[in-house]
Amino acid sequence: MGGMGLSVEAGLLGPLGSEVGELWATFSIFAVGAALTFLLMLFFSPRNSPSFFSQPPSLLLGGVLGPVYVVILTIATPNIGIAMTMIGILAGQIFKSLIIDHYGLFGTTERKIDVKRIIALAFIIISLVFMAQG
Amino acid sequence: MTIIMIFLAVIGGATLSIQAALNGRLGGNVGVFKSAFLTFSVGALVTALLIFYFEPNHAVTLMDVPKWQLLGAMCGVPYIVIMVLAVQK
Repeated sequence: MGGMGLSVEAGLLGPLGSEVGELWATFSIFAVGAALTFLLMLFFSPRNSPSFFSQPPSLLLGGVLGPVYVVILTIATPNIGIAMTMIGILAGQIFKSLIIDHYGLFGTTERKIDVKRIIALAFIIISLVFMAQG
Repeated sequence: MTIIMIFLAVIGGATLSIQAALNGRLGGNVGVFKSAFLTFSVGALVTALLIFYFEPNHAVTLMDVPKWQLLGAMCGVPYIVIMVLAVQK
């Protein structure tokens, strides 16, 4: 579900970015997103939840990484198409996730890399190569 | 060109999974919506700064494009919320 939303987003962002500029397209996503999540937070967030300022600063970096991803999405989609962009994203995502899971980085639970996970990654890379040639 | 773009996409994916890990953890501490709000508000601030200094002028603005093109954000919000929920599980 989350992933489907993401590729629809990429499909809409690409053309939008080439019309009004990548950064404006990115901004539209984040501005609307911030407005929506502010409302959600206001009405549905548990009361008295801990403040952002009581969290370690490194945990708050997620917000800075978001724009990097969306800008890349906006630039890449018109050039190589949605399918290709998504597979590239997927490859990067899976590769990095395996490393995060393996070492239990950022306080996530450790899940060791096994043969199955390596095979899964290999297939993603193969599909990337096939798409690039086609 | 294509190779560079694919390479960019792979980097984008890697950033995304770091973000997922961080957000999941933050969501566990302060709540899902609060964590999603942080992602979007900081993201909006960063892009606003970038626009301010780096974006060239365009003939067309966000106000001129057909409204359906602005629906992308509606897909982004469920994604972030689902991501925060799923990482915790």
